[in-house]
Amino acid sequence: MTTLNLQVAASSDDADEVSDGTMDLTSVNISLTAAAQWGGLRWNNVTVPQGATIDTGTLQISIPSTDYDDVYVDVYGEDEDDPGTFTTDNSNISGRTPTTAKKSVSAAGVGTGWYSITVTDPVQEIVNRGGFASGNDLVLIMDAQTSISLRFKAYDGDSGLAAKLDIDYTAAGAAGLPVVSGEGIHSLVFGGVTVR
Amino acid sequence: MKFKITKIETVKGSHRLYVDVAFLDGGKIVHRNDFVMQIALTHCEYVGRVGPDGEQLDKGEQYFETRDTDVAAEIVANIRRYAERADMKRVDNRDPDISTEDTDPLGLRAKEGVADLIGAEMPAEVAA
Repeated sequence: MTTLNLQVAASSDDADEVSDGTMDLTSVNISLTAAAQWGGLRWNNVTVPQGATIDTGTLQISIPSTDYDDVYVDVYGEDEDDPGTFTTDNSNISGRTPTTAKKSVSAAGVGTGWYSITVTDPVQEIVNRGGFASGNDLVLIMDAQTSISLRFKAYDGDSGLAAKLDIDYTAAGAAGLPVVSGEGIHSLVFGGVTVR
Repeated sequence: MKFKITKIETVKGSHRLYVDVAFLDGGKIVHRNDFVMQIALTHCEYVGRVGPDGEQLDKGEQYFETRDTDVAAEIVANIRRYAERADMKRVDNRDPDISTEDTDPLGLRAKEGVADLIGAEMPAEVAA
């Protein structure tokens, strides 16, 4: 397995959208405090081979205050091969095409600091697209649900606390090499079959 | 569970770090994983509408501070997050398309504490 550790790296690569479709690309926090609000996150140069198996996809957001730490959200991918950065065009998050796969989170009072959301299925759906290629960009879409009260750090608030995406993947055709310890070879994997 | 970084290089043609890690239990390697890490040399933090000497800034002005990233701490944090979520299968499936080179285009490998990580055994879990 290989792990790719990514972080939002540009001001326009995170944004939020309020219920009338107005976009905000430069706030210090992504703010989702009512249903019908949206958050968008984009990572560049996702060097995962097309069709790779996503073992785990993990979104990490940094929550600065217990006043806004109720996480009620559906997280989708953007169903595009290589999505562009966010713009001030009206509804530039909600107007994007979501993946079928999503991760629903309902968690109140999660506290401050880094908070993890597993997004394996949306990431897998994107990587499985025929037109996806290693090095493309990837967007996650956050659809705020009733009871949400969430703020997390945006790139413009602290680029070191901008949203992270960890992708553990196995490339098609990746060599299955044995782990050798003092006890010798424990297992060999051939084409996904483990021989002990 | 402990981990030991065996190699820190640069992914060829990029600014990303390649970090090769062995996970150990009772002194024996039980799992290996490699990482491609996007880490910025510095980060910029919003401070407020008050300047560095406490002066009130004009309307529309904001004060930001640029700070050095603790690259070594970021590397360790990335590995510990992995250790927390991974099932530590006893196989080693690397991405064969990753090529590395012994370069340091951003100066990440030269940052304090990074070279010292290679070969050191560290706890895979964060102390409670």
